[in-house]
Amino acid sequence: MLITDEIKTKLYSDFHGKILGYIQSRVNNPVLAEDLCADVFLKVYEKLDTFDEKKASISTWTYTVARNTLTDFYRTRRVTEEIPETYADGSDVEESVISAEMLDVLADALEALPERERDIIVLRYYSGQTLKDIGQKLGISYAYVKQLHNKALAQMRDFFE
Amino acid sequence: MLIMEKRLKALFDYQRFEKNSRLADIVEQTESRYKVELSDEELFLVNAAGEINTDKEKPLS
Repeated sequence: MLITDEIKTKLYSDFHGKILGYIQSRVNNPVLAEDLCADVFLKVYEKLDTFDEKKASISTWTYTVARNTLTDFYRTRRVTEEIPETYADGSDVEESVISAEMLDVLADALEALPERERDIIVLRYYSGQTLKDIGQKLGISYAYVKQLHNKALAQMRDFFE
Repeated sequence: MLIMEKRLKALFDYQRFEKNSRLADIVEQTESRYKVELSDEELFLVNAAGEINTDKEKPLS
């Protein structure tokens, strides 16, 4: 596949905002975020001939490149520290699981939960809080928050099958 | 459960990229109810990167 300047310009136009916004949500240093965003685009251009639209959308693929760039950044920057769980645990999730449509499924699943269970899932998996901290926030015991968490996961699983 | 947890982590991370409006509303409602403080993971990210982005507490803007 011939990667023309026109294709690069289109990719930059379509994804610069998303990539930079994503990196800024994870790296709270504007200059560093811009540098990493530039790194992502270099990789996108270099690897574009490996993109397979049968496996993932261009948006998902671009996100994966950005995510891998951040993972590499944290691994090389803090090699003696534990890698944030978002970048350690989720790396083996298949690209096919990640799509814009699946975000709607996730929204459906969350909306079907009682408010307290929904809050537990959001605080745990979006905000990165521990169940212990969530229990304190909600004013319930760790054992009970764990029970509600497991119940919510079981209910949500039905939406993803 | 482990697969479901990995899937949720992956999808919520992708949400930071894709910014689904329905999901953003759900997150905003939860965060406003509990006034989310920086988690250990977020503190790690701040420490590694340098400075605190106060927009972090706001919904996916």
